[in-house]
Amino acid sequence: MYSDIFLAVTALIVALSLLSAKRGVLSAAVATALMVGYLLISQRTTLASMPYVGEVAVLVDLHKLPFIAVSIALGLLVTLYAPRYLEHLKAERWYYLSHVLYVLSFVFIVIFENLIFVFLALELSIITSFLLIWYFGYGNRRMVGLIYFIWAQVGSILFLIGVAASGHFDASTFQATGLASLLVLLGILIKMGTLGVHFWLPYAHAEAPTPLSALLSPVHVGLLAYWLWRLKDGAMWPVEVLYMYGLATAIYGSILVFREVDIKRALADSTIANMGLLVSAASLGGELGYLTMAILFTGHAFAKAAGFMLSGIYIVHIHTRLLDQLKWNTPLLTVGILTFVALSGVFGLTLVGKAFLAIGVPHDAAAVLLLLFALFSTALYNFYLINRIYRSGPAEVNASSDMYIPTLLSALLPYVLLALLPLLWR
Amino acid sequence: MALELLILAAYLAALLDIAVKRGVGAITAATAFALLHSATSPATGLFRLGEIERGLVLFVSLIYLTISIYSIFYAKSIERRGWFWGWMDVFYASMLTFITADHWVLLLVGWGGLDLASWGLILTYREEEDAGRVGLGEGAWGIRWMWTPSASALRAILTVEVGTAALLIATGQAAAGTPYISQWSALPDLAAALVLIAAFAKAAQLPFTDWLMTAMSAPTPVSALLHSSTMVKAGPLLLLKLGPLMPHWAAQVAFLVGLATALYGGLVALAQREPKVLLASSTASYLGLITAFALKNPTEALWLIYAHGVAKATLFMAVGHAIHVNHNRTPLEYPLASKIAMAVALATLVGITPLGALAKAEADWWLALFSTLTSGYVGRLILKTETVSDWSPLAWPYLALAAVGSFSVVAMPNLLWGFSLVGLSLAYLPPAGALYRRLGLPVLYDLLVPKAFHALARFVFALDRFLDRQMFRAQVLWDSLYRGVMVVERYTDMWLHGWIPESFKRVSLSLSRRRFEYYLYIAGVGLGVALYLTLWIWIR
Repeated sequence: MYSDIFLAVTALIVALSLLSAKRGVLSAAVATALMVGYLLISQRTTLASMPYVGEVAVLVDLHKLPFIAVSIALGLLVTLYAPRYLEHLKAERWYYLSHVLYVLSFVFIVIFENLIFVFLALELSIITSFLLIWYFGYGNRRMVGLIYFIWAQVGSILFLIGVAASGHFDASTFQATGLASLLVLLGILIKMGTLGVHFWLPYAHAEAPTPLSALLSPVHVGLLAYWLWRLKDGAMWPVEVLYMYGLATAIYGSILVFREVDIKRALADSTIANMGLLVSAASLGGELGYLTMAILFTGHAFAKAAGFMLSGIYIVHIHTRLLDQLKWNTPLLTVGILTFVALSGVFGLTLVGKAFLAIGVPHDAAAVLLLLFALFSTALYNFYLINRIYRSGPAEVNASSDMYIPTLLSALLPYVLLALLPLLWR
Repeated sequence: MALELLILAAYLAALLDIAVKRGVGAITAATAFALLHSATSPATGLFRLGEIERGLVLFVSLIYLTISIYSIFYAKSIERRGWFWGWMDVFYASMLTFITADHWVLLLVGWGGLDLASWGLILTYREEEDAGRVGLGEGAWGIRWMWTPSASALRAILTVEVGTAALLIATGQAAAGTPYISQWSALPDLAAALVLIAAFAKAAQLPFTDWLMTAMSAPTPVSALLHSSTMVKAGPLLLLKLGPLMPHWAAQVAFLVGLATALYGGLVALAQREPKVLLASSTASYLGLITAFALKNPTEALWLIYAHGVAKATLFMAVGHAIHVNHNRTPLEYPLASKIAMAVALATLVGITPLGALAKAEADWWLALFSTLTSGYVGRLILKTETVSDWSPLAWPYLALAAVGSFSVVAMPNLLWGFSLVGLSLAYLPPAGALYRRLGLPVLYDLLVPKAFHALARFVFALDRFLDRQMFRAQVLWDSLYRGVMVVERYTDMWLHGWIPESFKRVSLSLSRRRFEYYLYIAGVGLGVALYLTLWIWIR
């Protein structure tokens, strides 16, 4: 029955996505909302059994649920946000086709249990997002598109080779050693854009069309943290080293923010920092690692999407992305504060994620000092950014409600979820 | 009534006040807590409401109620009233959360809420409003002595975030066993050290003191609340909460740092020209004393919290009255009401009112040094300024607080503490330049730390740019590879489609020119004849 649901929902979404190329936002929104149907697949369901590849199974368990739910929720918010922005870009309606398939790829990245199919989902996400950057990006968009495509392919292919070399394609029985284990890890880290393999990220996330940035940065790269957490036991990665590496990434990404004059690039650097926190979280053992990662992922996703959507409002209404020119009125300042405070972890869901991250810190002074610096620096750059925007001064900016409401909702969600956390916990 | 609902209502009051901009939510929430503090209890294990917590809830609520009533009049001159009231309510609700939390995450939520609300409140005035500035604008010691609200807010949040990061790690380590603070066992040394850093940063202890001075960019009612019963008081309250878990050495460290700050704050206050900065230094000084005793003598620390809270809220509101009347942040004329209230507050701090007596009940005599300094700097406000008659409604809340707060407990003061009032003569000493410059501490935050950070950042930028360029240079490698492949391709092509067929053709032509078939014919016939002859000889 569940396989029928999967096929029916997928067929409907694909049909609607094709329709959206003609009809636009309404079809795209319905297609994205329909993805909720996948949440019904609460048991492991085999779709097919293929020679060499093995069982192709799908599953939405409690561990996958937050990642899929956040992907769909943000996919929907960004879809509703996009029309005016696309009008500004003079983009054709086929944007929505690629957009819906891109959101669908998020669900597929997580829902598949077969790692070869996870790779295929990654490919779907790369191709759809690459097309959007190539045709609708900013600046030297073709160059940036190529940089993104090549790095993303390198990451995915290393992941695939590692999985293939391990000989274990199913996530539930995954085991890898030596080179295979290393390649899977490297593939995941390249996709996440962590320290040393982060160079592509600020280009791609800043120059992508903003509705794409609002999914690329908050969701796409973060989803790989799930696989880092899921595969770490089978791959026997050195988790303490990963924890420290994640913290170093968080510090490095935070410092990079201070070089930027452009809000989208600053937000992209901030993503590097947050991917660092996610790597550290995913390397923690057991349920603690999962909870920390899921909370940090969710908190970051909504806040970062709000940040990018805010930058989109500025691009459309006052035609600038320069931090020192982002004048504000009360509604925009409200979103700015909600966004950057949530990202900083001084309040909101990320505060809890950071606290959980501290539970797992190795008990030695060097690790504690690194964590202290990481927690501080990830708060520091956010207040630096909001301070810079604040100092631009007030002005009349008439943000259209169709862009503003999804942005505000996304910015509010980290706080609403913090308030609901005790209930969700239960 | 469930405490959880009341706290939630206190947070929701912020939304109400943002909308109505009049403090209706603030007064309602504070009144509700003041009336229900003994009738309420937690419905879950997330909060704990013992005797000490109930006392603190009542104390914070009464102070907040008084300041809210005062602010109804004061805030008329504030442009962003919704902003002001909203953050004030978050401030209050966060303090209640912090005080009553027994679950470590809620403790952090309260703690973080205080950081955030103080940041927001410091930003209340617009950048260009003089009321929101701290410092007189002169250049000295390598920096400009002027801080706008945004600069002050950034300084405040970044300094206290050092403490918050430390607290996250300390409590995270402690919570590995159980999330409930009341069930925690002794903290390891590293966690205890982090708790001390957190408490010191929040309570503006050395070397984290200077954010408190520039936080004076906030409107005066904010200062009254921040310095009396919220924010800075969370530092020593954290030590009181975790005191039984702290190792012995932590009490010594807290004592030394606290005393050093008390002395620093007391001396610096003597030389300040802006009354709000003077009171901020005084707060650092008293927070130093409270921190010093928080682990050594918690009872004395608790009474100091009450006495200082009442006195400091009174002093700030009184100074605010003068600022309001003069429309100047360095007023020369003070209303008579404010001087009366300041005198009562001074008496409480010195220890000669019933409330002050309780705070001094177990105090050693050497503490008279700090009371003497207090007399000196509060004396400057009372004695070295003109007096005017202004009995506007602004006066009544702080007069009531001074009177009721200082005399509502039953205790007999030891009038010998009154000798500290000899310190009033210090008010007539000329202020020392180095003390006015706060012994150079702002230089650390405005010059040295930013320079060090920029150096680190520049190194990171250079490294990143270098590696980034290398990545683009990879394109040269790609081009070389491409050209190499093209060369190989061309030669292979030439081999396969040029040289090899051409060679075959040439060999073939050469062979054909040599009439190979004729020779083959001759060779074949010859071979046949030879074969025939061989067979013939063999048979015969």
